[in-house]
Amino acid sequence: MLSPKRVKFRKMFKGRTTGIARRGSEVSFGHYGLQALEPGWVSNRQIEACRVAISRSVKRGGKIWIRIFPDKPITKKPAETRMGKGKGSPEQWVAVVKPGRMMFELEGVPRDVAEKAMALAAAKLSVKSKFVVREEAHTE
Amino acid sequence: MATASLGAERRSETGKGVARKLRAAGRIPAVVYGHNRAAEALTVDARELERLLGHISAASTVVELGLGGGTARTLIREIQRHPVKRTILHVDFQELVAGERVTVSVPLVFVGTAPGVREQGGIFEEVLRELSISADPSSIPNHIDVDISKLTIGHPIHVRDLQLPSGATALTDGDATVCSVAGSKSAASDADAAATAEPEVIRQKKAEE
Repeated sequence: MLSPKRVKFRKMFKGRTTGIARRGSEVSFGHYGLQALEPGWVSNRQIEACRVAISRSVKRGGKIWIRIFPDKPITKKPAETRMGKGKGSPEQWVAVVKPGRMMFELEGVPRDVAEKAMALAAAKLSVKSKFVVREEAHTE
Repeated sequence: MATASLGAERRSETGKGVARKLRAAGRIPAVVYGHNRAAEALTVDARELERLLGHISAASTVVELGLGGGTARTLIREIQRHPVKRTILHVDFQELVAGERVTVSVPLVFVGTAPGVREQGGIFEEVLRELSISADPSSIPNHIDVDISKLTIGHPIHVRDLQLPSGATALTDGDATVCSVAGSKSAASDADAAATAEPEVIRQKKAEE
């Protein structure tokens, strides 16, 4: 699963997610994409589940890009622990996602296959998302 | 060379408040600039622009911009869109000067089926989707065809292999890859979902005093 190799600090504040994604909101590498429609956290487990779902769905062929990286540590206190005694220990890694963020991209498969693969991936995520196609130039 | 026409109106007020009011009223803020001409703030009709963009290749079509009494031959240089709604927020037009070459990005159209995909089972990879060319405004091609009917694994097509229209020169490096067929990888291993290791903390705590 994805996680940082080195970090400056082990624990992080929760933070608030405001606004929309100004960067990383276009289909930049592939032909099809899965775009977030609401803010949220996407965990490395979810990203891995999506990757597996997409790669199994497209079988052979197709190239996948994962455009989010889980670099935020989320801590959790152990069960049945009294409050206090400091912040819990890091339990998982999440990517902070804003509306508009292109989370996954896919290339090298027909549209119907891509749509099906992205629908399977979308079902694994905790944020609403939509299937998008690269804005093509009209060349007729 | 493809041409299209679009009506525009000059505007005197600028700023985000004005731009927001214009968008709410169905107009899109725009700007026109060019060599030896001062930049001018404009507005265009949102519906008319969307309809126009629905059937032209925006980067390589000369747009006759109706400005008051006269017209200006322009190229669309930038279209800003809302990241989620995809509505148009702003458009840049560059006025063309007769006899002066322009740099444009022309879409590449891949023609045919690559034997590397059909017979060798590879994955077709488009590395370049547009090619930056220098051309006379009157001879900007609508698109450039790339014949992939002989494309096999390990033999990519480079920019120098492309057939450009007469008068056009490619600005992208000739050695740059346009497209290739990559060997099909076996399905990505699903077993690499190993437990996440604790990351190394870059700055260790100072020794306690």
